[in-house]
Amino acid sequence: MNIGRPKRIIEIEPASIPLPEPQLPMPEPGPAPVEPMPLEIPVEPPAS
Amino acid sequence: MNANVSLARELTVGVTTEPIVAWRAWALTGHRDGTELLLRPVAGRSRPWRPMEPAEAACKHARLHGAPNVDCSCGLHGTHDVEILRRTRCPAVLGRVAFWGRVIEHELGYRAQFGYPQRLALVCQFCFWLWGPHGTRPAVVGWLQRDELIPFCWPHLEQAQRYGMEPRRLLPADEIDLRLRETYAVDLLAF
Repeated sequence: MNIGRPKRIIEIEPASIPLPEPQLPMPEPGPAPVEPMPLEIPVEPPAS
Repeated sequence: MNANVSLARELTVGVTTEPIVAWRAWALTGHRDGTELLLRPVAGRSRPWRPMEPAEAACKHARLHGAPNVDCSCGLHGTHDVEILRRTRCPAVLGRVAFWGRVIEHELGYRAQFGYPQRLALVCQFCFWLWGPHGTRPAVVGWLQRDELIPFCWPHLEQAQRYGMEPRRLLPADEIDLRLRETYAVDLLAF
C-alpha cells in the first residue's frame, strides 16, 4: 500500500501505554463465615 | 538528489506524549470453532498482532536498522483516511489503531514502531472494495485452509462459492465479531 512520501518523524513517549487493562480473575469463594457459638451461661439450680 | 543520502536529514523530528490514532486493516485467522482468533498483517508473512500486548515493528533488514526506518518501507502501517484501505488485499477486519514509539508520518499515513488496536469490526471484503466501509457488515465468517477466516455478506458468499471458493465451515459473524473484541479487549468500530 502506497502511503506517499515521508513528511516528519514523531517520537511518541506516551504517559501510559494504550493497552487495555488486564482483566483481574474473579476471586474464588472463601469459606462460609463461621457463626459464633452461643455462649452457654451456667444456670445455677434454684436454691431449695 | 544523491540516492545514498538518507531522507532522515530532510525531515523534522517532533516529540509528543499522545499516541497517534490511524486506520488499519488486518487479515484474521482462527480455529474451526472460531477460537484462537489472531489479527495478522494483510501482506507478507509478518508476525501476528497478539492480544493484550503491543505489536512491535520488525524489518527483514534488522541487522542494518531498527524499524521503522525512513529509507525503508518497514514499520506498522496505518492510514489517515479509511478510503485508502479499499486497495488492501483481502482485509477481514477494519479498525482504529494507536501508534507510539518512533512514528514516521507520510503524506497518506504512518509507519510506527509500536501499535495496538483500539476499535475493531469485521468487514465483508467484497463490499468494502465496492462501496467503502459503509454497509459492509458480514453475515457469516468462512473458515478456510490454514485457519484463514474470511467474513462474507450472504450475496458475496454465494458469489464466492460460484467461483469455487468453498469455505469448509461457516460461523456466525456476530459471534466472531464479539469474540474478537473480547480477545483484544477493545470496542466495536462504528462507521
